[in-house]
Amino acid sequence: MRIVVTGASLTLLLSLLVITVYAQSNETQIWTDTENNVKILFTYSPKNPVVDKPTVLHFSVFSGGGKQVSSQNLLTGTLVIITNSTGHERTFKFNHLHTTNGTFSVKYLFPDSGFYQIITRINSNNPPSISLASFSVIVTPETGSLSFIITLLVIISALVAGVTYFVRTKHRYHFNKRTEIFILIVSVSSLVSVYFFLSFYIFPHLYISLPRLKPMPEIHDVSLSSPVVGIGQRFTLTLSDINIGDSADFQTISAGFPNLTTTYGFVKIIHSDFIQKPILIKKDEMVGSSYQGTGNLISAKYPSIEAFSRPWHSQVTHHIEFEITPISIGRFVILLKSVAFPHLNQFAHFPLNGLRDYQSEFVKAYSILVVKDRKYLHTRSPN
Amino acid sequence: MNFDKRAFSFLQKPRTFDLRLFLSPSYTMIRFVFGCTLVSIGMFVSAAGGSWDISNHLLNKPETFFSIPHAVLYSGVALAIFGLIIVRMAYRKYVSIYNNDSKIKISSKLIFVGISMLVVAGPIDFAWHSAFGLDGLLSPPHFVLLSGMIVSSLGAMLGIISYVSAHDDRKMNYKKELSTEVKTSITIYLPLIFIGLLPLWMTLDGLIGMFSLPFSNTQYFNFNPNPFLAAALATLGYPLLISFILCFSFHLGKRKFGVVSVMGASYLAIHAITAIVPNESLIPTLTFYILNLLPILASDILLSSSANRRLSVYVSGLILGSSFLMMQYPLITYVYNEVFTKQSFVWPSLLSSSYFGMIGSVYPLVVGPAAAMGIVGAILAGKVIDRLSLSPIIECRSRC
Repeated sequence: MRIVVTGASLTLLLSLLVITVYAQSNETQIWTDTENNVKILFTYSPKNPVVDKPTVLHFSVFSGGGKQVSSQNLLTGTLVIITNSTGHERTFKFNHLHTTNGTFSVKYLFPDSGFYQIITRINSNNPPSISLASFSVIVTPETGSLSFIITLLVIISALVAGVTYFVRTKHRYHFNKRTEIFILIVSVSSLVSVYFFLSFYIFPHLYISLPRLKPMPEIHDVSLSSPVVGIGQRFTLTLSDINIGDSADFQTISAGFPNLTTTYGFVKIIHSDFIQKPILIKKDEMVGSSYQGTGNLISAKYPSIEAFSRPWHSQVTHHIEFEITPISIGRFVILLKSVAFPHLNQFAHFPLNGLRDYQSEFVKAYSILVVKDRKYLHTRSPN
Repeated sequence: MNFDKRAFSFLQKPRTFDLRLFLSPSYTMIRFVFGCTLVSIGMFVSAAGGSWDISNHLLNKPETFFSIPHAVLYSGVALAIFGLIIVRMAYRKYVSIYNNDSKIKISSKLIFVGISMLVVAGPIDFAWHSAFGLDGLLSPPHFVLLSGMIVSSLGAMLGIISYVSAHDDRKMNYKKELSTEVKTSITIYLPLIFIGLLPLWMTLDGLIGMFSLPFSNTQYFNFNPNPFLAAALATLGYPLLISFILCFSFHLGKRKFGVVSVMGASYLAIHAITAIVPNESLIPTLTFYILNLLPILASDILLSSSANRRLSVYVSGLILGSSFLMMQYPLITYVYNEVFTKQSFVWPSLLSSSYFGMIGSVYPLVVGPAAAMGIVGAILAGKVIDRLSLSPIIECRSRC
């Protein structure tokens, strides 16, 4: 009896766990942009958005001190709503949202149940800054039929198990053999049917519409120790990489050196706090491209260093510092990029656009001037 | 027949634990079983650590041999070594006092061989890591380690079973009316069965996984199995193993209701803790996984309630075998994903969506052979019980 009661209680408790997957929490979501000292608050109404019914999405922007932005600060916002609930990714964009008091709202009709990611870009003119933020909304099915079905089936299972035990132990002498066999067949068939129905119909529908993680890498605090160096002199490159989206299974930051044929002897990692050791990619080594990882391999055109962490949790920052010795006069270029995997949308890499490298991936270029003699640069007259 | 009461003094449960009594010659068998229990627990801890290590490698790609799952694994080995020492000492004492029981002899030898393999493979595994970096799931040292775990678990289980069968056999010859004493022994007997069988289940499960999961391609070696052979092995091996172990536990558990359910629930709990919980994106799917209790419960009801033993065995085997795809979630995703998409790798956060996306197309292809192997496993369990000459004892116990 204890086994049956325990089992029934366990399955009922766990069905509540399932229901909470779709349960709504209308707690205010807060996004903190430490670089720009900005906090963005997000709420929505109604508390449980329903398919094809208007939902108000409300944003409030605060400065780091907790004060709402001043009326002199014009904020323009862009909103992108992304969902994968139907198996294909769909996006909807709100452009040119303006506010002077730090708050703005939009009305949106969610077309399907499932998980939606709301990505916001806030441009400020005083001080000039751009903040990216990510929020989420879960939209339940209109009637909540899925959770109703699961609860009903779990109750049926518990009843079947209870009846079987009851017949076997308490009333076994009141039923004839045929009735006992009938009850046995019905109870076993019910349990098995419930199991296969839930496993092949209900749960796949439920879990396929669950949110996929959407990481968003961002490189910041890039600094070069000097804009000009003499040939043979060393300079340092320091940078930080953060994941401002959901946790990534794997996120990498890559520094490419198109002026070099090898990093050996010319590039040294002075400091790195990544979970795994950085890897050195040699020229002509096979590397992934087009953000497909190892799915599309090509030969490396120049050496690079990749530092990565696996996993890379949300809002975690890693730092790396290089010591570089250029070998030729002229512009010494360093190409930086960061990619998060799984790479499911255009926000899973940084920079979002601009220059592309040989891997067909966007990069941000940094450079220093390498001169023959650093002293020569200071003493030479403008004429 | 005359029975010397002193010969059966080891059957008497002491009222309080007395170390001198425990170490006395008349408690040799108890010490032997205690040693077997320690070996089983050690192998259980090692197998759980191994399963956790697979998840750790998938999620975190550790770069050092010294990780927490490895520590758990080798702690289990250390406990098993301690158990081996007790087993060997007790066995030598037992043989010097009583006759050389073949089952106990085999049990002792198997434990010794298994633990020796573990002890030898450990340093080789470390040297392999040092030479070739972190290795994949299948590598020569890992294979020797797992084989040692299987052999040790088997030996420990045989030791536990032979203690119980010797205990009840002599008791039944000694005393006619045993209903009270037999019922009392259930409280000790059943936990011993679980402790003996669970590590064997987990290690054999690991063996099938080692030769079916595509986790063995490293910088220096590619030991990944052929995808189609791997899928075939998983489709045939897992149902056979699940059905065999659960039906075997049913027979050993005196054919009582609840034994299969507890055994199955224990396995599901360990699997959930080591393979699902470490991956945050899989935690919402725990409800789906725990639902696997339903076919186990159905089989338990059928086996313990049905008067038609043969039919109930066939149907239970069919039910258990055909639910293997759900019980082996989530790692089974990698096996079939490689066959369908030619990609051996699935990002951990996409594992559940890959699994639920393919379950509808994979299941119709595998359910037939899986159900058949489930039936085979159930029949095999009965045959092994007969072979171990435990049937008359179980029949007698069932009537008590």
